[in-house]
Amino acid sequence: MSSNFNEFINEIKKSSSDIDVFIPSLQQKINVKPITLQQQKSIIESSVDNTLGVLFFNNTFHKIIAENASIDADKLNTIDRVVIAIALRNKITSKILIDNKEYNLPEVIAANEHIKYTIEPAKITTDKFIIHVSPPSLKYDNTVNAALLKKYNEDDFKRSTLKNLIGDLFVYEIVKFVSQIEAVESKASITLRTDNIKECVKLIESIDSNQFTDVVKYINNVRDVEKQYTQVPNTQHYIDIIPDFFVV
Amino acid sequence: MYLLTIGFQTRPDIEYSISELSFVKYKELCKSLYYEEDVNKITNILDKLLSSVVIGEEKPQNVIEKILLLLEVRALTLGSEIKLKLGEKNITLQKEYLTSLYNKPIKEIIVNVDTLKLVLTVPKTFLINKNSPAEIINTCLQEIVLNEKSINFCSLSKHEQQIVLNLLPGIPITSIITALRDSLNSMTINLNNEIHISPFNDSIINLLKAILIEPYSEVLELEYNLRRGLNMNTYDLQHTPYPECKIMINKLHKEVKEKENIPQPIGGPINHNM
Repeated sequence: MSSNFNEFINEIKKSSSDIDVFIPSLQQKINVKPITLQQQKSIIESSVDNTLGVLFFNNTFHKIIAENASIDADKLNTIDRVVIAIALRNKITSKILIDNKEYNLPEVIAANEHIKYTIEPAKITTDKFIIHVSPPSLKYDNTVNAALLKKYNEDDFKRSTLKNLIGDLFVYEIVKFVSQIEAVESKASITLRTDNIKECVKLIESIDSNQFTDVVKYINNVRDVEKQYTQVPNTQHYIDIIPDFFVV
Repeated sequence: MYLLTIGFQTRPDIEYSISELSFVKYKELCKSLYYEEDVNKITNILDKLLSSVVIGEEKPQNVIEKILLLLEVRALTLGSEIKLKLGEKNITLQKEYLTSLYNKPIKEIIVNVDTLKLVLTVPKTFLINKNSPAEIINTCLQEIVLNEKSINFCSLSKHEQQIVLNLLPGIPITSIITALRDSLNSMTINLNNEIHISPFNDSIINLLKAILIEPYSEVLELEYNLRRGLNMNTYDLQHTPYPECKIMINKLHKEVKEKENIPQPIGGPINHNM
């Protein structure tokens, strides 16, 4: 490669300025490098028109955050993913079209900094268990998604498999949020959030689903908070964080 | 072989050198194209053809220049008059007419992203995947300007191009693609008010194939006549341009015909040795 080319590459690297992003779970700003054209391409390529599409996209986006954020993705959660996505998209273009009307992303970003972050880890006590729950880190969310995608890659995608998928999505979602389970009677406890997702799934599936009613309520609450961060101020419009969000 | 030197309005400061096709090379071209239906394979054959006949440093930088050069190759090999069968109709076109449709300055599309300026133009390759925005951008990107320093993207190796693309910031792809598509659609031409030929899909590939080749059986018949009538051997056929072969065989046929028309003297031919 010529020195002229190398000089030009250095110029491109220098020209790219990091974005300051306010992270709700940390209540502080971090630096995030802007998304590259190559990463934008990977997002477009992750666009899959089936039930697993969101998982493909989230895993692709996790890779981007891991490459671009100034801190470990293990320290960020799924709510933080929303604000990072909006900040990265704002760098490409600050306008968004929803229902044929144009809105400004900087207004969404400014409003998000004032949302009170109320999500805390919780202990849910049932008649049989004490279940510790918290939003998964992006890293763990990615690990669980990858396990589910691998499972359906290995199977043929048939009609019967689709029925299983819906059940699996429910179980794997619980796996994401449960960090520890203690038995009330025996006081025995087990820590989840390991890399052995199969074992975690087996454990969750072995417990009566009625034990997870309040876990599901907790999960829905976290998802509602995530949605709050996608709301366009003073409207009832919400931004969909999907591959199309980055194709502008 | 004769070398044609020619320039186009697409890049007025550049001149191309095009070599004639020998009989053997033209026969190979006909053989490879005549029965080929796969447009991707036809495209590869056309690109190989350009690599072999466009000699010198200057190479075509985009699809429009490739089309213009292939039209010149056509004229050098088979002449400027082009007879085509469109459905039931036979039409005759001149190479100059087709050239005039494409031989124009190319519009650039400029995209500014922060301090970076991207200059995009017509695609470098035939048959771009219109469903891949990243591929469209890759094939249309011509120049990148940053802080008054610029780099010609087309002159980089594939490896260097990938390095650059990996570093470029995300861009408003949809609006760029829309602008590119509008620009590309404006280059669609109408033949006989019936057929639409776009330089960026199958239609141009099929047109180029139709105008570049002759029926393979006719090429073989010509070869037979050259070998039998003119005692041309493989070396001769490798080094004689195709149009010259045709001129020579036509001359031979004319001579034979003239001899057949000369009336013979009564009593047989005159024997000067008596």
